[in-house]
Amino acid sequence: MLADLLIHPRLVRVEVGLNVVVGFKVVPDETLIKVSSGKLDMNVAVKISTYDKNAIEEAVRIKESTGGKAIGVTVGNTDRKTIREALSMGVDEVVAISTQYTDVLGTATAIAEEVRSMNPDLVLFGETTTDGSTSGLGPMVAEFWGVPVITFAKSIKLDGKVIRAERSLTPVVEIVETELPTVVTVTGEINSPRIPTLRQIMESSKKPVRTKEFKSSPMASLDSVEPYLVQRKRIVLEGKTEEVVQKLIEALRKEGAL
Amino acid sequence: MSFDADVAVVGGGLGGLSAAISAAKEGLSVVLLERGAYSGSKNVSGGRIYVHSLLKLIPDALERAPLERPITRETYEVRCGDRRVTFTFQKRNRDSFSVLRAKLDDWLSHEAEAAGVLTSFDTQVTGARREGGGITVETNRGEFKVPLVIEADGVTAPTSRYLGIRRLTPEQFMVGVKEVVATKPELPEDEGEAKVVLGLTAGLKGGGFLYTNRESVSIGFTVKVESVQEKLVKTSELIEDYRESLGIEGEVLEYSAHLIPYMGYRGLPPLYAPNLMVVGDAAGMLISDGFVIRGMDLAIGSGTIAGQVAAKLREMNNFTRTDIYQSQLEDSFVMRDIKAAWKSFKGLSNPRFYEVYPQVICDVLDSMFSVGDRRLLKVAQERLRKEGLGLTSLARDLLWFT
Repeated sequence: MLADLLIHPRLVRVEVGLNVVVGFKVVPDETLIKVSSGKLDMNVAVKISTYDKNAIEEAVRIKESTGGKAIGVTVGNTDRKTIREALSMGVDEVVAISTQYTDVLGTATAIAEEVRSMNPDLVLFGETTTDGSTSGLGPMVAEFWGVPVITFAKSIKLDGKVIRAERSLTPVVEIVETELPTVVTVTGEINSPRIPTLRQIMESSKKPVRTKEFKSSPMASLDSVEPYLVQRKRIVLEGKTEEVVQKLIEALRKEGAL
Repeated sequence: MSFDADVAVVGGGLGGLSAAISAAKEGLSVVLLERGAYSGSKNVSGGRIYVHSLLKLIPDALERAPLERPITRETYEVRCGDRRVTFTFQKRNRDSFSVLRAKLDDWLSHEAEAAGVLTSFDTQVTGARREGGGITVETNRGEFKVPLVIEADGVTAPTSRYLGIRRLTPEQFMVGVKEVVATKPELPEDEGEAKVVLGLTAGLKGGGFLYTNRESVSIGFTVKVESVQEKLVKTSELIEDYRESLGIEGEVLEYSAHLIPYMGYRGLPPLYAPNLMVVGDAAGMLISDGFVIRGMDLAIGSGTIAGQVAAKLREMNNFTRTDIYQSQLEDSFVMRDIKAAWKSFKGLSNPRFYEVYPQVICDVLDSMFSVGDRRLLKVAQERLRKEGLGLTSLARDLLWFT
């Protein structure tokens, strides 16, 4: 506990245990997705979406420094092993909501339902997921739940029921303040997610995972996922350097590149 | 002394996963540590599995496992310059399949999870020491104390080395180089081919292979490490030449290279120590007798046995009696087959198989299909004499395989 206080002096003054809900998504590991003969091979190992890990880390830090609780919510793919990773990072329990394909509005509806019943002090998300990349989930949940939202937070400070955040808006940083309860989406800069120890991984298998089903008809349907490929022109200019350079300049002009 | 689990399995390949599954099925608490982000992300294999031992572990594996094609055609190809000798043996069967390990191992890891194994990926074992009647495993995720370790950490056996029971030497290894190339094999959907290619490894001691997958082919070769050292060649360049010589065109989906144990029955490392059992590649379990190369079925077989012995040891409440593992291995197909392959293993160490005989076979057949002297034995004898060999030495070399 003392170590926590030393690492997070900004949280020292908080006295009340805060209840934090953190949303995270199980996504295909984008580093493993391959394009082969014009098709995407999406049948790859899954992981917690990159910035959602930062959200989990922040939720756990707040929980640790205030003596509250951190509850995870995930919608869509409810891969057991990936959920266990969130638990081993320090989340106390996870609500795993399985769905067929749903759009971000469906996900927001499902999460808002949970959030309303749990009535937490703070809800955290990653700024965006590595698959859908809408950045819309946090604002939508805030809207449904009827609380303020702070997006792209690169740091948050809590003082009683007041939350102060630095919003990372290239090229400026905006400092905003509001009162809890609120929804915050965090960027990758906010922290370095911890690597759980083996013992924490073992303990995580004893933590509760509540599974639920959610049915929704998406407002937007996903028709196809195609790789974005840039075709090379495959033009080779041959000859003496001085002539070729001239030809190259002409060719670039023709393409409108110069 | 309190322990964190009954058994830690180091390594999430086929051997480790089989050990973990069989131990978990016996009711032990099992933690499996894998260095890669998922099972199958770090290992390399030619790509053919004999499925008998997998079916013992998971009886309906043929219906569920991501296997590529059953190997129904066994082809031998000897290359000597622009000449080549090829023969193919065809038989419809489902004894062995081409596989892509990234898919197969990942699938088996989910089977392990379902059997109650706790898997921990991105977990690298950085040390191991004896402590308090068990073994403390040191990892990038902290320490972990167990009364029993099943070592399935692959060909370089780090756990055995951390515990000081193993040293590595170059002659214990071959190096395998492999590419997966996107090209649809011209074969019926339910058939697959395995090809052994001799004479395309530029004088290095070894041979080439080709396995047909569903939508790709796995090609590559295995050569002795010391011959790569002697000839100062780059295996990454050799495989390009090899691919071109085979006439295979298509997008290269994967390139990989890996060490392969090359020890034979007499050269096997220690298979157990108190509180430790070693399975699969880490235990040097590979059979290469000129006709079959097998490692995956031995890994699964030895892993399965290790898992069962783990349960027995817990029952006995004595985790030092891992010698039981060795004796159970001796009674199983694993050691029987490794022992039986010992002679041909030694035969294959003979450089004549790589340097002399391919040329001789081509020259003899060249004469047989030309106008001139066509007495097979006489031509063969004369050709061998040029190499300073006689028919008897040829016969003696071949006898290693009988």
